[in-house]
Amino acid sequence: MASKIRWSLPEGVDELLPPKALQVEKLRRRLIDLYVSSGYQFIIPPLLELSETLGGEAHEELQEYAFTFKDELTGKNLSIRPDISEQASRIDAYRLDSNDTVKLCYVGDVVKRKVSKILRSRATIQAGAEIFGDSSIDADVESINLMIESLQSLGLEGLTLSLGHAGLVSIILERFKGFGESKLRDLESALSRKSVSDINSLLSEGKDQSNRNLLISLCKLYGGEEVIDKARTDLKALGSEAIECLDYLKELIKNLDLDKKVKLHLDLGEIQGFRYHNGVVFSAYIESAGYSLSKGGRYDGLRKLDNEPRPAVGFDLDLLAVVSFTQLDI
Amino acid sequence: MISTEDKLILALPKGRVFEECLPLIQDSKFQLLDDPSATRKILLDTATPEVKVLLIRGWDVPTYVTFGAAHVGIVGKDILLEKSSEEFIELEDLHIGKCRISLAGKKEIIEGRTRLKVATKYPNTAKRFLESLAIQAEIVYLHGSQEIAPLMGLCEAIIDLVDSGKTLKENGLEEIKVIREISSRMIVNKAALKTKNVLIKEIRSTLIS
Repeated sequence: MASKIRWSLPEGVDELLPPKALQVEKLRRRLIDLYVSSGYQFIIPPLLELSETLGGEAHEELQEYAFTFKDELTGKNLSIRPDISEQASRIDAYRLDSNDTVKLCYVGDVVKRKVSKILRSRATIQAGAEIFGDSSIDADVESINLMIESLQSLGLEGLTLSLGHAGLVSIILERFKGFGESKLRDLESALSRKSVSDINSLLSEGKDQSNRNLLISLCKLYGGEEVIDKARTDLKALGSEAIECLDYLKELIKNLDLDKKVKLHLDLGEIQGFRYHNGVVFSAYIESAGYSLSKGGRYDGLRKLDNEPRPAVGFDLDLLAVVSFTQLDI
Repeated sequence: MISTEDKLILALPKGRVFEECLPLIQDSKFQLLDDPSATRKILLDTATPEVKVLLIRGWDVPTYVTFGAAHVGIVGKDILLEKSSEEFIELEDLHIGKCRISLAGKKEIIEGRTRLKVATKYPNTAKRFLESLAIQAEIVYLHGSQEIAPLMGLCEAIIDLVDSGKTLKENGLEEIKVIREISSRMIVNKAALKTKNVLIKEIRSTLIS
């Protein structure tokens, strides 16, 4: 028997073989059909971008994730896209340049420089849908419902929808700006781990008690819908802006009209994904996966149109991660 | 990857912390059905059929919980500080497994130093601590018995867990500086906190009662 040639791919990179490759392709088409029939226009942004313009307002953050190398032809730095939603926002602002509502959808390869801690991959297929130019609650509702429908259409059952508000988190973190960048990062990390004891050791007793208590309260505000009412009391000291965030979440839940099969979870202290989110953030889970299957949120102002921050809300999912949980026989 | 739906895996670290955890769960609905000292099983049944206890090394607990292969874990803060890049919720300080992580050496060795060679199994903590004193760390990674390393000329100091301080003394070392107090924490997988919130709440109240 001929000896096998040893073959390897770069770390965090995989190739799809039969029958999985066809399965993924069928689900990819299913998603595009769903988005297009829901009124979203399909776009195919390029795999490569000029590094200097990658990411708009979130340039630095995206640059951290992107593979960057020199273009021998022009001498400029190029980046492989680590995210497509950001490209969609660029297309909305600079190509379509419309003041009306624009809905875009996409499915394509993304590559990240760092290996994802949980999935251990650097290259995957990202699918998503974004709504630009609509700051209404209806757009948020539409985006959340479409995210759930996407996962259901891919054959996922027993979904949990988690909601949070990036605005609320930043109102609290704003109060710690004076501590400097490094301490702020530590506090943010402690909040993302809900580690009350780390917050206590970072913020020594006595000084700034009330702000510390607010941050600790935020760590504990997760669970069912009752969390919103508890937050009204616990976060009262944050003032009307914070209460508005809570009212918004309440109103949003009322408008969602969730499928009874979908469980609702609130996590007010959640810091989710990219820092450019500034309104509602949402994510979906199933019991058998140890990580979120889809994430999204509002990110008004990532791009500007006529110097005005462009409203935006959308979600995306990692198709390769989701496929392994599908119950569909395809 | 979790294959058992509607199940909850509680990962406990073998050794001293496990002994301290046992009284917390015995007499509760999560009491172990097997006698852990008599069985060699790694996955143990509890009085609640949907909850199982996974008995592994403390260093592996954050990894299991980050991936969601275990949903809840108990692990020392010393290990969490090293594994800070893993992603999990650090839900509760259980105030068990108490000790401290300290710098120890033959005599006063941090005054006026710019470099220091330390043996440790906590390279991240060691580096962070020495950097905060503006000392460049030369780390010698050792799996165990750090106390003997200075005497053998491998390094000048060690950074390790200290409980009573007896081991240090017996090996001619002094505890020079306490870096931080350590205790065991209850950690939770990020997704499980959302999908298994009710069961996790029950485990939490059992552990902190």
